[in-house]
Amino acid sequence: MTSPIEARLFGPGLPEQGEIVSCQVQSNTIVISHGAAVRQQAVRLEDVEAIVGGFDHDQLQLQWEQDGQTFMLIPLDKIAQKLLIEALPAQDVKGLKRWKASTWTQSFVWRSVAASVAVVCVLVVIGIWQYDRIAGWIAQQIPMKTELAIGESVLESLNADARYLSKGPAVEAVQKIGDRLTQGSRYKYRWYVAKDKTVNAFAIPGGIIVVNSGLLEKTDTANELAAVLAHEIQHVEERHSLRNMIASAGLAGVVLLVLGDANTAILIVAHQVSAQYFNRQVEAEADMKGIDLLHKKNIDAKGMVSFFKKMKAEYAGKGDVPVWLSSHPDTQNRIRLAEAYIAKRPCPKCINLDWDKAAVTQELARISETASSDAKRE
Amino acid sequence: MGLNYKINGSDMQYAQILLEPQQEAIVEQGAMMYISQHVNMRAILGDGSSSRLGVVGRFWRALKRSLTGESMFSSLYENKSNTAQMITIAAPGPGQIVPINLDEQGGTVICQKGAFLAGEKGQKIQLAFQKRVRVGLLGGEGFIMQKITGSGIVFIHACGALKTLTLGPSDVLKVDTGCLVGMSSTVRYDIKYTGSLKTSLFGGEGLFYATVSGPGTVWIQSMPMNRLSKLLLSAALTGKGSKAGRWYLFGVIIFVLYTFITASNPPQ
Repeated sequence: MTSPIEARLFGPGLPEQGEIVSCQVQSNTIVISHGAAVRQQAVRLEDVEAIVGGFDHDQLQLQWEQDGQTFMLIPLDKIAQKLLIEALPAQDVKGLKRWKASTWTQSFVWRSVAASVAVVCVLVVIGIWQYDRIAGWIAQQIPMKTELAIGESVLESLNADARYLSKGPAVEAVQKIGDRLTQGSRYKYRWYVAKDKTVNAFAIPGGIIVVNSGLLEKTDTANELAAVLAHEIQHVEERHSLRNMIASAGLAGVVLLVLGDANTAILIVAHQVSAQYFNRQVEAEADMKGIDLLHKKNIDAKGMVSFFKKMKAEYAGKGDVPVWLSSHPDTQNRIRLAEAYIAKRPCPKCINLDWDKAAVTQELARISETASSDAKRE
Repeated sequence: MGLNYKINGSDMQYAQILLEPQQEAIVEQGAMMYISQHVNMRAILGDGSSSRLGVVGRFWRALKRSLTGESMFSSLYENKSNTAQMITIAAPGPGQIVPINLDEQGGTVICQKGAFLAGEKGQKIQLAFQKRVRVGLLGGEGFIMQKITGSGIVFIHACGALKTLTLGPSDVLKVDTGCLVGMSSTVRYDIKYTGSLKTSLFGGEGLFYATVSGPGTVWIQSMPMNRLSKLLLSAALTGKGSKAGRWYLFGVIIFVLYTFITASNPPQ
């Protein structure tokens, strides 16, 4: 015997909206009390059938035949329905198991839809928030072979054979310092000097580093060149270009999905690959790790600061800042950071490198001559 | 204290409501035809009901309400005078206004999108989401319907003539999809396949029909708005609403051919 549960009784002779009754479940019957228990009626549980009803298909409707007429009992609200389901023995009422299964399935379907939407939303938010980190992680998963292949294709697209020197005194000078810096690296480095007057140096995936002749002219000491190379080596070691490629490929993928515009997506990737532009954080990381590398190889890192300062002084007040600085963040800030970083890490063993600057200068003069004669011929 | 009302007109109806002193009514925006001098009109957010979450909750509720084919704001008409005042509300289109006494429907009715026209203060218009995918896709009413809860009289409007039917327990009615306007909360709404390919292709009633099973009340319309607009549009474009146009065209072709033949063979 359970406590009375409020319900509405529908049937012939009863009001359209049902009569409010209270019902009690006993061992094998439902006792329905009309009004103030003036009139009672008992229905055997074996006659009753449970039906899924209501707009949401989650209402319990108990139906039975009595004297050839159909009656129906519907709990007044959700709480009453829960009480009634708990009170009813599932095995005795026809259809109650099916009722439970079908309402459970429906709520399960919508709950899983809501859960998957929520998971997708969370993933998107995390993806945006930790985009750099995810791109970096993917970049670390790329096998060396793929990276080399990417490097080769970039080199090819830059028309390396015609524009870059791969031997001669200038390349040898770069290589000598570079080899010292990259000893024990998992990459096999290749060094090029580009016939280009702009002050720039850049790294291509797979351990290819290109130094412009313009930058070589501006460097006075070997330590300055070593600092620039150490910076570029960090871009290779940390796979910064790959990380950028993946980041822009991801961005392009989103653009493709949202706008359906393949041209824009391709443009984004193409721009990223060609510009070799890194963000502030990545550049700062390359600076600091570059200094660490120099110290590890017992090279005085002050060359980095002096090179930055020289560039800043030379181009102060002028519009055309050298490329190697312009694509990098705020020179003054970089100088300050690098100075502070070096000051905190004294390196008594560190030495100054020496190089054959005269031979390099001679070679560079020859290059510029052939370049200008080429230009004349054209 | 229920509303005192009268519905006038036959196809383009309006409801005349007599507001007792201090009585208030909520009306869909833009439905006012005329009101007495001392009736005060005010725009309120949503249905004017308060929320546990304050303004944010009310705004969210109004936003959900706007998805059910209503506007985010509604108009509140209040009688501040000491005498009864008149407000008159016109139906937004051809069709009928049906008053429903919510107390007789267990406090809840579910209506098609945009059915609400006017009601007493305190009634809530909520979003009723169709959880059965096939009913939502093929039932003709879409996934979103209106759930009107509260007490007192609510006026709903739908296109065409409206029929109110009361279903007893185990009564099942087959309804053309799209013709269902409203039902009480105990009514089960489902769809059924018409049964045979021949019937579904050539019967003209579509592949599915809706079924409503009792107990409860259902309201059915004779002409859903989209059907009416389709008919009017095709009639406006072709100039003819019925199939007589084809015979007319046939006649024109015969006439042209006849004149062509007679002209090329002049009488000897």
